[in-house]
Amino acid sequence: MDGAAGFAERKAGVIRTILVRRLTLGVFSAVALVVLFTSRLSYRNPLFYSPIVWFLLTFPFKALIERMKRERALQWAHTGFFLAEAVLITILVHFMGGSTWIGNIFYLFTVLYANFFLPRVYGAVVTGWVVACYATLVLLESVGILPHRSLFAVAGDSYQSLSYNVATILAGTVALYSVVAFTVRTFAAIDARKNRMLAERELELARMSKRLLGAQDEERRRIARGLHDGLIQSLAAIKLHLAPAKARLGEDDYREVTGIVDEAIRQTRTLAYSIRPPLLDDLGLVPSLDRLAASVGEESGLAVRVESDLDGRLDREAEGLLYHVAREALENVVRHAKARRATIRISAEGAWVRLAIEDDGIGISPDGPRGLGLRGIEERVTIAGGAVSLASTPERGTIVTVEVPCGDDADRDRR
Amino acid sequence: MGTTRIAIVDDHALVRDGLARLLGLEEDLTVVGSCGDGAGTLTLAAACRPDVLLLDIALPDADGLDLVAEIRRVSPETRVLMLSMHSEPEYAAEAIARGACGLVAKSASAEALVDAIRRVAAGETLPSLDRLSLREREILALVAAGRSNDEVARELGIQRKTVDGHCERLMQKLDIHTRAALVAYGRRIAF
Repeated sequence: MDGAAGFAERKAGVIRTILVRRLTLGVFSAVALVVLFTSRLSYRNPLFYSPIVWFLLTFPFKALIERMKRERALQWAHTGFFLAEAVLITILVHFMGGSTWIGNIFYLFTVLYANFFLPRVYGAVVTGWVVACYATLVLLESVGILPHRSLFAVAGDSYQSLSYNVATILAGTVALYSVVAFTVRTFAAIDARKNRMLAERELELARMSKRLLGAQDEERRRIARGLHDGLIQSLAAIKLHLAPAKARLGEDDYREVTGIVDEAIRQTRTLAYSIRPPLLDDLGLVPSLDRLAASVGEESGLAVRVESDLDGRLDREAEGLLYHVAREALENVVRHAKARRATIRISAEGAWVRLAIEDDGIGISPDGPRGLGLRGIEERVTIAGGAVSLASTPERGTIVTVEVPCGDDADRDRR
Repeated sequence: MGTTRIAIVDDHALVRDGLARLLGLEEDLTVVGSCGDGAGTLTLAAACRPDVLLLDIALPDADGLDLVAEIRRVSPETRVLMLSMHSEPEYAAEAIARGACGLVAKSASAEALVDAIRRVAAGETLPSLDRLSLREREILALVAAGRSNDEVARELGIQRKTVDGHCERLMQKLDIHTRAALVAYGRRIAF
């Protein structure tokens, strides 16, 4: 699951949380502005500018996080955001007189997100930093280095003792955020395990599909071979043995019996061919494609050319797959494209083989619904670790391009 | 003219037997030996030195096509005629490209089989070039030498379009579908 896709997903998750923050703080800022213009309170009141400053803080950090290319860097930037946020919140809490009420609640999202998105150590550092910031503020206010401020002057605002502050608020903060951090951490762990299991299952599924397709291929090859090397040979042997008996049978009977044997040979050969063309195993991909092109041409009138710069044979799996792709694609062209000509191009590039099937038909919409044939191609190629692309111009034709890894080099690449 | 000495290589005993009986009916053909695998083939070829060796493409322990060059090494005067269950022209083209004198389908009629063997023994290549016109043979020779259609047209002093037409007809007659196959075919047989 780890890899480029996993990282991109986690990064997107982080950016989403920053956007959620921006949205909530944006709403707060808007409300604050409305209050500012409809009341006689001063704009210097931290109630107004605090959500706006917090809101603005999301911009540079989102930009920073978007630039991150590695997991570790992303975690550092995210942690930096939480640490800066905690300092800012502490300043706001001070101006809002938060130390005399439950101002520590403003750190909630910081602790929540930090423990959900960051590894254990980073989460603990942010949680500790939050508690330290709040404790420092309360202590500074309690010993009189910083004044107690209050948003709204409340009659009978009492000056609390140092021990009272330390005992209640600090203990409350430490207890509250320990519980929050622990709970979130547990959920995060469950989530991570679920993702990991899901990714493992997906991988297993892909492996299984590949094995299954391989087994199916092998089975088809076996059956086709059996028909060719067994049944058809025996039929041919019957025919050969009939010849010396021609005089005894008489000309008419001889013709009739050999006719029946010929028909049996023809039927068996057609069957074997549809299961897996023997050409593919005997001579390889390009002669098989030549034959395919010729037989499609005979049946449908579509003029098919084969162009190849392949040298020698590919591995069995790749030959089977590419032949299957070409056959499906040509079938599609015949059925839907209203084309007059088609070209099959095949070329090797390092450990990859590219097969392109081009036609001059009516074209298809690349975003439109795909026929079964094309979907089947995509499935099989994806399972083999390859890629399919489709380019089409209305009334000008379509090119289906397939690239698959092939041979020893590709195996090395994949490992 | 003496009898043509023939060896048969096919892993299918019934086919081998049937072929031997069939050929035994012909006065000018003698079966001098047979075997059923790739390993025995070279020994057979070296020992019997047959005029024509009928060789199955699909042997249990070897690819018949791979054996052609070795057979010609141990017995240069032997002409190899491939046997196959497959009648696709690609097999014949490949067989000729690998040094055989042609290919005949096992399912062909008795007359066609015997005829094919006689023609190969007489030095022909199958499918035969008889059907090609003189101009077509000329063009096939140039194409086999690696010339493009433009170059062929210049050399023969004819239109490019005419050359294209000849090539198309050539491929049709020989049942070949790519230029590469045409070149391989031409190299092997024409000259």
